[in-house]
Amino acid sequence: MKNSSRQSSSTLNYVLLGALIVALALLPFVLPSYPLHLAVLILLYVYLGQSYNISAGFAGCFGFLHPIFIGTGAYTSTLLFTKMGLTPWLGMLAGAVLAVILSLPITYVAIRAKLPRLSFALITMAFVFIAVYAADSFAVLGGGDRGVQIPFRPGLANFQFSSKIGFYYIMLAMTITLMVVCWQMLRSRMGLYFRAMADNEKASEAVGVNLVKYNLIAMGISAFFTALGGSFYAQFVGSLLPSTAISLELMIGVILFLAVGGFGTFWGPVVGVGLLMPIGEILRSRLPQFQTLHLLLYGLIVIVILSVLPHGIMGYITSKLDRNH
Amino acid sequence: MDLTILLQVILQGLMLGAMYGLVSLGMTLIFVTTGLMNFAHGSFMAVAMYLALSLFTAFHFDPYVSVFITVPTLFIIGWILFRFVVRRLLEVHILMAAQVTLGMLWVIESVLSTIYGNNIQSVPTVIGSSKVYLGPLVVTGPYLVTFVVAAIVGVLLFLLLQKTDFGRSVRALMQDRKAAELMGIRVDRTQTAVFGLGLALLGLAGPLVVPMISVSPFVGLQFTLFAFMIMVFGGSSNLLGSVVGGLMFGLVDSLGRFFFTGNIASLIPFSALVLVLLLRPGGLLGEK
Repeated sequence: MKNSSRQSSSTLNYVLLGALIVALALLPFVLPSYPLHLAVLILLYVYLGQSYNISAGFAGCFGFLHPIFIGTGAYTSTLLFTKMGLTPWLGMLAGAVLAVILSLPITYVAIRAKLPRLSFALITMAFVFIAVYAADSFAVLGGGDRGVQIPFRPGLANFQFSSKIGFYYIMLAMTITLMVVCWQMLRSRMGLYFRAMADNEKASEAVGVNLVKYNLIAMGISAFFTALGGSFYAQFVGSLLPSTAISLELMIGVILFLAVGGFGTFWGPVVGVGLLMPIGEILRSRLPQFQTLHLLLYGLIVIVILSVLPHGIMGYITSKLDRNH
Repeated sequence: MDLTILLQVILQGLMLGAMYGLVSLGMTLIFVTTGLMNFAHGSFMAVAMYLALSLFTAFHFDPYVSVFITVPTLFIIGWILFRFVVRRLLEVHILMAAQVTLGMLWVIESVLSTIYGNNIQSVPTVIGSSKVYLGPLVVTGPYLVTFVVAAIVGVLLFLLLQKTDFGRSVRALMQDRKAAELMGIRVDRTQTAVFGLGLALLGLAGPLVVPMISVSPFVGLQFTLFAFMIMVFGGSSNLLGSVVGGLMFGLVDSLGRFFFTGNIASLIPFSALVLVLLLRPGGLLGEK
């Protein structure tokens, strides 16, 4: 039974994947400029959602460290570019490595304290506040509260493009790469350990999963990809402020999209972001006088969806598929 | 002269800290009986503060009068939310319940900012400028009232937890949920009541602190974090810890604001949290 279900869901995955990639690759030829801008943002949210899914969904390490990783990636590539002229392509790698180095001690301290699961989330939230205040106070770190402007010199080496199409294809490539990495990870032994930890931390420890080690690995991988996304975000927006580069609000958005799509499921981020973000964007453009109305809508959708389908849309679909075969 | 100011700062910090302690106690009670970390906790305090603002602009109610409306209102909100949304999700997975409170956070922020705008606001009270002299020290009315009310409610809560059947159920749940269930304790009822109680405490604290602390729609998350830090300071395994943690938080915060300014001052309580986590992960009163 297990085998056939795995087979059916993997066929489904291949079909979905192929159709999606073809459609997405052709999209820029159809879309005018503004919707294309939105399409890049949607892809970025899917990317950030999947990066977050690695640690919080697959491995069950629910926390809010990721705004720090986004900020690390954004600031590292930007400062290396503006101060030393290093191409953002190398800068974003440096940022990703730095994010991994940052993630390990913070995760270690929080996990070693052996506080109950959700306390980890709030401790990490405290670290985000520390990071925002720090970036705000020290001019070296974030250019202070006036922010950093990235000079606009279009060119592939400068990671800047005069049309959105360049950004679109880079983000698409990054998202597909990340999806492939996650797909392989979930099928590996490590993915099995992650899922055991997410299902039941104590039981997985009892059967010999090294909790500290695998939490650190999950957080490290997640930090790496999240920071790459942060660098992309900085290049795409063209300027950086501590409050937008290190943003809890953005992260809560990612988490809620993921919750609707299905926490810890492979397709969760795609479904959640693809469903909610367009609705919110339409609402925002139709009713510009209510700037926060889309937050109300997102919040209500999350409450309703979780009340009906506690494991999100993809969580529900996968459990149905497993039962039918 | 300088010493007097310092003592003054310490005194005000402790007085505000007592009320923070109550807010955190609500969060701790919910946490120990359900296992749920409520991310919207501080946002509900913002709701109570804005309710006091509305009651003031509409009927010229003093915040101290509004308390008699906000406490039952918040209790009912908490009761309904737990009974119809949170409880079902707790049975599935604790993470989903936590995510639903994140959803509530966004709903509250959006509604507050649509109704009241994004400005920082405060509510005046008739005793706002009254002063009480304690030797060389001066305490303004709102601080004193907050402290006295926090002390009285603290004692009442202690009696409630120690002397009543409800309190015994709560403490049983805290020790061992499964065993408590086997002993015939109605777990769901106790949890619902505790969730309502936790929010009712916010209904009390919100109007009381709004003359001193201004409110804006997006301040809730910060309140949640303060309450959580207090819980870690005190240790979640000990309810008295919340009170000690609250006093300590008030002290650290006001001393930080006395010696430093701006962002550095805001960093002080967070740094204290990291220190406590490193040195005494179980909290000051918790087991090591």
